Formats: sequence, structure tokens, C-alpha cells
Amino acid sequence: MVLLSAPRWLRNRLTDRFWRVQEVLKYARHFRGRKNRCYKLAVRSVRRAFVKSTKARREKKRFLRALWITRIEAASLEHGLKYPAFISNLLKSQVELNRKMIADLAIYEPKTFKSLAALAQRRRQEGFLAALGDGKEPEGIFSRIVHHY
Amino acid sequence: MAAPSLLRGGLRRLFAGLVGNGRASPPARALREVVEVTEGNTTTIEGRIIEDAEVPAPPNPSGQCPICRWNLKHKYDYVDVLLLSQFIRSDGGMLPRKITGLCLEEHKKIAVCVQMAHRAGLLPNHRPLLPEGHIPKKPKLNRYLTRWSIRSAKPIWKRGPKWCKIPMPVGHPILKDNVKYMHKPLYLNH
Amino acid sequence: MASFTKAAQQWATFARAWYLLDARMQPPGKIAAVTAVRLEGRHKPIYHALSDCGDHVVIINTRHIAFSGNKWEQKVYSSHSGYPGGFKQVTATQLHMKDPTAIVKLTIYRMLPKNLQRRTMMQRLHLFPDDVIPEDIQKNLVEELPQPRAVPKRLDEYTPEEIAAFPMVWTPPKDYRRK
Repeated sequence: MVLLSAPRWLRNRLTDRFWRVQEVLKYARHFRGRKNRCYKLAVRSVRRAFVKSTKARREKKRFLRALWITRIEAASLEHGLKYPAFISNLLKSQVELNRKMIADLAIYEPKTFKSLAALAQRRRQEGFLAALGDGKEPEGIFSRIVHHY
Repeated sequence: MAAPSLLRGGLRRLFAGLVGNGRASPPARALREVVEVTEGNTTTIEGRIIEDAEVPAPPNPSGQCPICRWNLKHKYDYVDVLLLSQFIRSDGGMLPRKITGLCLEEHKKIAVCVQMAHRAGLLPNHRPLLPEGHIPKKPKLNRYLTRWSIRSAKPIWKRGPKWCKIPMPVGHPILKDNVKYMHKPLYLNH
Repeated sequence: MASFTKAAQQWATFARAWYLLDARMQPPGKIAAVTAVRLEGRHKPIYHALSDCGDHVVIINTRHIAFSGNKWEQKVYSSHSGYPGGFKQVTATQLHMKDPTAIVKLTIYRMLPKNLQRRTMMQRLHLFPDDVIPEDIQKNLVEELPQPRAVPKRLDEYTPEEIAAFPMVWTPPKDYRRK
């Protein structure tokens, strides 16, 4: 057996079980109570902690997206647009900024955000005008507008 | 609608009382305006007949009832007091359907709207007269879209479990076909 | 950038504004929805749940709130003191007679997120049953929030010109006598 370094040599001195326990306790050192030193207690809580952190990695994406949406909503309401109107009209105007970037713009570059809001507002008005049309129904098509009288 | 100087057919009742036959009535009756002219010692009280103001032509003259004639079907609610006040007496009750010419459906709807408007306090001048010096015991609580009469509603002490709560009705289902200008669905139970 | 310029910006960003809301003829739920947003700070682009960036809200005229439907009679507020026989139930009317700010306060409290910041946010809420505000609060006010419910006009609030301009939709018969 060739022992090339001091830690490996040290490791060789102690039993294998000790090192396996340390592998687990390494992740429990900051836990509260006896969990951070007793293997039997630590192994359970470390396992639970890993499960939770795995779930949290997925949850974080949802949480952050909700946060960006809250921020964008706050900023767009300042310019008189609700969130769904703002974001859908930006999409229709082919502004392909994601929500993270729009939220950052809302915080650090309020004037850029204001121009985005103006763009969305303009697109919205155009959409309304297009939906209203010229007030005439197309030829030969039964109208969907129901008159109640 | 109630101007104080209008004497609504009161003169006719007076004459009828003099004649002694309550049912006999002069041929022409209409709203009269009382004009008092005082010249020296002589005071002339004259009841002038008010001519009906020119009514603009309704947009749909072929309609069967006033609501249809004005294209108002499904387009009014309890807040439209200018419309509702045309169908009620001065004490707030509905005018009979024979006189207003409403169809039954619209008459019911108007009645519901009038009731809700009364409960919301939107028709304060069209209330039954209270005795002199009457002070209401309870303070007035603001409410709107009230379906049941205030006296008949009872507290819901047990609303039941979360998934099948006893509903608290708001508004009236007879008005559920009203035209909406937004996507929000109509909730009749809260 | 030097830190002394950043400090002013930091103070300005997290400064607390004071909003006024008139609760006359407003349903408590809609008041609470508007107020909870302001108390949490969700109306600011810098919002974060932990950064405590909420504003103050002053609500006046809570005595004159309006309930839709028959909720004044039907709605019941329940509480339990924790002791045997400590279950209390009062209707909305009874609670309102006892304390004219209680209904609004309870509705807002229930609409805030259920976390440790809830009590802190409630301390930034100032409720007044009438439109009398103490001087020290009045001088802080920045903006009046629009009322969430459009209050319908009463018939006696219309001017005679407006009533005359509304067309009569039916003509009474000639021999008809109005009461």
C-alpha cells in the first residue's frame, strides 16, 4: 500500500465506519440540538434536508417567477396597465424580454420600463380598434352579435 | 318627478266630492299646475293643465313594451334610478302593469330592481310617509344588491364545511342575463 | 459610486408613504384587497416579502361601509377564547354596532399573508370610524386612493336638468291620475 499524502495516511489509521459517519455529519453540523453530533439522529434529518433541497430547487423557479410577476404588476399598474394586458401586448409587439429582465428593468431602469408600458398601451389600443373593425359586418356571414330586442 | 307645485288630480277629487258621486269624473284629466295670482284683495287660484312634453321617438317602435321599444332589454340594473323612477308611485310601489304596458318578464325585473334600489337607499324621496317626529331606532346600514328583505334574513350560524358552505345570496338570478362588458363571471352566491 | 450618494437613494427607495382611503359605501372585501397590497408593499417594483417595504394606509369613514346582499344579517363572526364555553358568535350588525372599525380591521387582517410580518403590517394600518383624523396623521398623508367600488348616484343627487333630459319611456294614458 502506498500512502501518498498525510490525510490518506490519517484516514488509514482510523476505522472505515468513523469516516462513513463523518460523511453524513458533515452535512448536519449546522443543525440544532443533538442532530449535529449524533449519527442516529443526524442521518434522518440529513436525509429529510436533501429531499427538501431537491424539491426547493424546483420550487425556487416558481417562486422567483411569481416574484417577478408581482414586481412587473406593481410597475405596470403605475402606468395604468394591468399585468395580463401589459405582458400579452408586449408579446404581441414582439418584445421578447423575459419576466426576469422586465422586473429588473422596472427596478433599475424605470424610464425604459415606461417606454415598454407605452408600447404595450399603444398595441392594446390598436388591438381594440382592429377588433371593432369599421363597424360593418362582413358580407355573407351570419353575425355573431346578438341583438336583444 | 314629484314637484311640490303639481296638484295631481286633487282638484278633480275636490269637485267629485262636491257633486257627491265619487265615480263621476270630468272627461279630461291630466297633471295640473297650481298658479296663484294675487291682485290687491283678489287671489286667483288656477289649475292649468300641463301639456305632455314632446316625447322623442323610441328607436324600435315595433316593440311590445316600453323596455323593448327603447332597446333596453337586459341593459338596466338597480343603479339606473332615472329609468326605475318612471315605473313607481310616489310612495315607492310599482305602478300596475296595465298602465305602464310592460310585459310580464320586464315587469318582474323592474320590480326586483326597484326593490334593490330601495334597499340600497337610491330612491330616498319615494318612501312611504312616516308619522311626524318619527326617529328610527336602528341606524341605517349601507347595503346593495340585497335580495331578501332585511327583516326576513336570518344569521347563518353554521356555514358548514369549507367545500359546501351555505351561500349568501347577492343580487337576483332574474337579472343574470344582463349584458356584461367584462369577462368576470357573475357570482350570485358569496 | 460612493456610498454617501447611495445612502440617500436607499433612504428614498424605502421611504414609507401614507395613503388615505375613504370607506364610505365600500364593501370591506374590496377595501381589504386594496389595502393589503399597500401594506405588503406589492405596489412597488422593489417588492420582496422579507424586505418590509409596506406603506401606511389610513382608512376613514369605516362606520359607513356597505355590504352586498343580506350580509349585515347573515354574516357571522366567530371567535373562541380557548376556555370551555368560550365560543362567541356575533352577526356583522352586532359587531359593527360594538366597534365600527372591527369589520374592516378583521377583513384586512385575514387578507394579509399568515406570517410573522402580519402584526407589523397591521400596525401600519390606521382606521377611523368617521372622517376626523388626528393632526399628526393628517400631515403625513401623500395620496388618496381611488375608491374600489363605484358608488351609484341616488335619485335626489341628479339635477332637475338631468332628470328632464332622460326621456320618458312610456306615456301614461290621458285619463291616468298619478299618485
